[in-house]
Parts: sequence; structure tokens; C-alpha cells
Amino acid sequence: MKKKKISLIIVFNLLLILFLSGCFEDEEEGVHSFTFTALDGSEKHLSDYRGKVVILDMWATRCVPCQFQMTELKKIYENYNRNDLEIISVDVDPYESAQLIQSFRDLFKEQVGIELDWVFGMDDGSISEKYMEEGAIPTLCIFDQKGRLHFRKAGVCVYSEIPPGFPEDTPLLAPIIDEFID
Amino acid sequence: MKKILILTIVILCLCALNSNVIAAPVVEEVIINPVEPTPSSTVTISATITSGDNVDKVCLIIQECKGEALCFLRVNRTMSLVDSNYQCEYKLQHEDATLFKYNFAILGNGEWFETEGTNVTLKLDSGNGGTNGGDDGGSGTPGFEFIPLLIAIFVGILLLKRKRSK
Repeated sequence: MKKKKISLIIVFNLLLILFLSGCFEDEEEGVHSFTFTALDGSEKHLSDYRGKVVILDMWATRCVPCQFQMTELKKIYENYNRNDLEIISVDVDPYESAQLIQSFRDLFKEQVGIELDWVFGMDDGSISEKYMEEGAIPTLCIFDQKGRLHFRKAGVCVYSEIPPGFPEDTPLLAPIIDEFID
Repeated sequence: MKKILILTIVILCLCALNSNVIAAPVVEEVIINPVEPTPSSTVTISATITSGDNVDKVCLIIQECKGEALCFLRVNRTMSLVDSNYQCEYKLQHEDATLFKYNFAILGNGEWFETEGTNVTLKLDSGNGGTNGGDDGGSGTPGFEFIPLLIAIFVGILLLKRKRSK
């Protein structure tokens, strides 16, 4: 009788431990957080965009591949609902200011005819340290609606078609994004 | 009245002309040594800079890139004035870079001027280049030389067995 009671207690405790670990595991595991400064000076967080797929674009104004990357990001921005996806372009060059970034956006619209109308901001070093390798730009990350990281790549990525002259292994972003957005 | 008005206009024009108009500095000549730098090598960049105003500081801004797909963050280095030329030595950081871009930031009269960028293509090593040797009539076949040796050993063993049986 005693042995039965002891074994029942042990089994019950094991089940309790399993249940509790299951409760907390999904909430925090793999969820990322980062902070950046928007062009208006306000502080923004990845968690502010919870519920949306977030594309984090690490770039700088004087990086020519980053400028090309903007044209592909625009295609993405136009193809998905604002409630489903957001793009955050964070300038990781410590020598560049909010004013310079805004001038770049104005010039891009004027000369290329593309309005860069998603979220822009500046990094204080924490984002580049966490997500970039060897300071390579552009570097893109894709987070799902819960803030979990699913994709990270240094170098140009394209939306759905590889332009002529680009390497065949240039990453396509549409299949990755479509995994999370119906 | 008219004379006073004309005189006032003339004086104002003279004042405007004499006011401090900041002229952008001019980079007259740039020398890069070596002429064909390679990735991860040390490059010395010398620039002759002229300006109507005092030049307080000159910075070299370098950015290495790998083809058209990727660049690395810009690096800012203060240049030294050596024999009326501004000079800076910089060790390229990325062995997979294919080019670097440079430009200058010049501080004069409390104002920064930044010049346009110039690309410098890096000379890449040819590497191993081609295949490892040619095909010389099958001599590269692994184990080829061991086959006659094995046959000889086998024949030798057979002969020994015959001798013993006799």
C-alpha cells in the first residue's frame, strides 16, 4: 500500500513537472527583442510589431547594394497587407544621422521614383552586434508574428525574381514570408 | 534721396562680397600605393587638398565591398599632414572583398565637406588556377602500380606450395 502511494506521488510529480515546463516553454523560447531609435527620436521595439511578420533591414546610405535592396523591399511592402507585415530599415552606420537618412529617402524618391514609406531608424550598436556578421550590409532578418527569428542573411536578397546578372543562389524572400502569411 | 539709396545699395553689395563665403575644399591629386592593392593588404592613400580657408582636419573614409551584393561598414581614419600632403595608411580588413571605395571628409572653418566616392578594384590572386596536373596516360589511376606486385606475390606463393607438395 505504501509503495503504491509513493509510486503514485512520483508519477504525479513527474506529470506536474512536464506540464509546467510545457506551459512556459512556448512563451519565451526563441522570441527576440531589439530596440532602435526612429527618425523622430522615439524609441521603438520589435515587440511593438507583435502580430506582424517583421523584416529587419540593416543598411547604410552609402552602401550601393543596400540601395538596390530598397527596391526589392518596396516590392515586398506593396505585396503584403499593412496588418500582416512591417519592414524596419535600421541604419547601422554610426556616422549617419536621422537627417541624412531622411535626405536619402527624399533623394531616392526624387531620383529613383520610389517612396521608401516603411519604418526607418538608427541603431545604437546593439542590433548590429546581435544580428550582423563582420559588419556586412545589407543584412536581412525575418521574424514571425511572435518575434521568432526565421531567416538571416548578409548580402542582397530579392523578393521573387532574380534579376539578370545576379548570382543564381541569390535568396528569394517571397517563399519565406509566405510561410507565415496566408 | 536717389543718391543715398544708390549709395546704400552699393555699400550693401560690398558687404555681401566681403562676407565669409565658405569655398568647398578641392582634392587635387590622390595617390594610392600600391597601384593594384590586394585584399587584406595595407594601402597608403595620399591626397593633395587645397582650400581658400584653413583645413583643420581631413578624414579618410573607406568601405570594402564584395562584388555588388554586399559591403562592409565604412571606416573613418584621420589623415596626417606630411609634406603638404594628407596621408593615411590602412590595412584592408576583408579577404573576400573585391573592391573598396574611399572618399574624404574635410573640416574647414567649422564645417565638414564630404567628397564623392571613388572605387578601387582589388587585384585578386589567381589561386590554384586550373586543374592539378594533366592526364598523363593513366598514371593517375590509384593502385595501378600495386597490381603487378600482387600478381607476383600470388605467383610466388603458388610456386612455394608446389615445391612443398613435391
